[in-house]
Amino acid sequence: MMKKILASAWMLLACVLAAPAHAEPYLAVANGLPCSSCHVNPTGGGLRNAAGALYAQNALAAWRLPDALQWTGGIGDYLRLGGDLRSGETRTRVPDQPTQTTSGMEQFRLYADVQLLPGLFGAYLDQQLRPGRAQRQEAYLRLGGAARGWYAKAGQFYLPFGWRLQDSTAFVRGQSGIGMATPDKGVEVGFERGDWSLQLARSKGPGNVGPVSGHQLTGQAVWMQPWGRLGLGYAATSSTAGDRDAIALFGGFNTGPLAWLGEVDLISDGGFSEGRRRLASTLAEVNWKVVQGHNLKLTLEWLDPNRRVANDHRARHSLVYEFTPIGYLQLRLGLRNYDGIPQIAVDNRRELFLQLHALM
Amino acid sequence: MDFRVIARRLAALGLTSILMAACGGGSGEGLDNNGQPSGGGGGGGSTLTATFSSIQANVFTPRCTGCHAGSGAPAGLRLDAANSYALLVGVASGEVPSLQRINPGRPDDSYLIQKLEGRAAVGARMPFGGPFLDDATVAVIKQWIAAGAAAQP
Repeated sequence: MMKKILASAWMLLACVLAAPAHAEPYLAVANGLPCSSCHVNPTGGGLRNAAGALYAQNALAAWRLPDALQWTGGIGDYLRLGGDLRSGETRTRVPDQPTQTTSGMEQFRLYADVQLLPGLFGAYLDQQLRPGRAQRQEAYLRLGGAARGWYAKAGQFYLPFGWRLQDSTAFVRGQSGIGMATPDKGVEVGFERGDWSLQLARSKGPGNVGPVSGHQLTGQAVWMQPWGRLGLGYAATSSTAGDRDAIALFGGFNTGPLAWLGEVDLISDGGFSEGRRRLASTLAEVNWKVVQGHNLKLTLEWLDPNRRVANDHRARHSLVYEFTPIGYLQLRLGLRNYDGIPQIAVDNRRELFLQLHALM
Repeated sequence: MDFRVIARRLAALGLTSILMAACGGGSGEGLDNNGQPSGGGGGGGSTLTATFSSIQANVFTPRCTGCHAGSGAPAGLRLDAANSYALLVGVASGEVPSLQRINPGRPDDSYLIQKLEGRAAVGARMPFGGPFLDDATVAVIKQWIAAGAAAQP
C-alpha cells in the first residue's frame, strides 16, 4: 500500500513539474527551424528548451494560458524538467476475429537536463517510468551545444537517422531498427553551421545484444532552408548476426498551412537465414493546421519486406486529428488502416484510437 | 499568389495522389500463409498445436518477424525459423537477465510469456503496438513450454 501511495505521489509530482515534451518533426518543417530551436537534445525529441516550451504554450495550443500558469520547465539556471504521459484506448479489428480493445497508460516518461557548466557541459536523462518498472531510455553527458555550433555526447541515446517520429510502429522506424524505442550506447558528435546540420555516432548497435556482438556507425546530413529541408542518413552495422546497411533519404517542406514530410529507407541485411535480404519502406505525411490548436495528420506508408519476393508488400494509412487545447494537453483521435497480403489477417487490420497526452 | 508557391502545392498534391494510388498491399499471389514464396520452405501456417514447429509457423513467423528478424532485430532476438529456438529456449532475457526467455517446464517464469501477457517487469507488451495474442494462443505456447519446450514433437 505504501509503495502504491509513494508511486502515485511521485507521478503526480512529476506531472506537475513536467514541461511539454515529445517529438513532432512537422513543426520544425512548418517553422523552418532546426530541431535544436525547441529541444534540449540537438537532434530533437524529448525535453523542450525554454523557447520550445513557450512555443507550445503560445503558438501551438488553441488557448493561451495566463502568464502565471506558463512555465518553461526550468528550475533555476541549472536544471530543466519535462515529462510525457500518454494514456488511451485502441480498438483493433482483424478480419474474421473478435474486436480487441486495449486501454490504459501507454507510457510515462520523465526528462531531466542538468547544466553542470551552463552552455558547455551537461547531463541529460530520459527515464521511462511506465509501462513496467523504470527503464532508462537516454542518459548521456553532453559537451558543447547548439548555441556553440557543435556538440559531443557519450552514453545512451537515440541514433540520428531519418525523421524522429513519435510513432515507433511507423514502417520506416520499425524496419530501420532506429527510432525512439531503440536507444543505443556510444558516442556522437554533431555540427550545426549555417544551412547544415551534421551528426555522426559510433555505437554498439541496437540489435547487438546478448550473444550477438558488433558495432554500428550512424550518420546523417541535413540541409535546412526556410521552405523545408532535405536529409540523407546512413547506418552501417557490423554484427555477428550479419552485417547491415541502411540508407534514409528524407525531407519536408511547407506550403502555407500544410507541412509535408517524406522518407525513403533502403536496407540491406545479411542477418537472414536465406542470405542477404533487401527491404524498402517509405513514409509520406501531410499535416494541416486547420486553425491554431487543431492539426489534421494524414500518413501513407509502404513496406516491401523482401525486394526479391513479389506481391508481398504492405501499406498503412493513418488519419489523425490532434487537438491541443492548452500547451500541457493534447487529444489525438486516429484511424489506421493496414493493407497486406490476404493470407495474413493481422496485416489487414483496422485500428481506431483515442489518446490523451497529459503534459503537466 | 507566388508562382513558386502554386508550383510547390501542385507538386505536393500530385505526389500525394500518386502515393495514395500506389499504396496498397500485395496480392499475395504465389505466397504461402506466412508471406513466403510457396514451396520455398517458408512453412505456411496451419492449425496451432503445442509444438515448436506449429508455434513458429503460426505465431513467431507471421506475428514477430516483422521486427524480430535480421541483424537489426530488437534485443538481438531473431524469431525467424532458423534462429528462434536457439535464441529463446534456455537463454537469459536481455531486459531481465534473471529470467530465461523460455524456461522449459516453467511457462509463468518464462520472460516470453510475461511479455506476451503484458506483465513483464520491463518495457512494452508484445507484439509491439498490438494487436496482442488472444488467450487461447498464449495458452498453447504455455502448454508447449510446460511440456518441456522440445524442438521436435
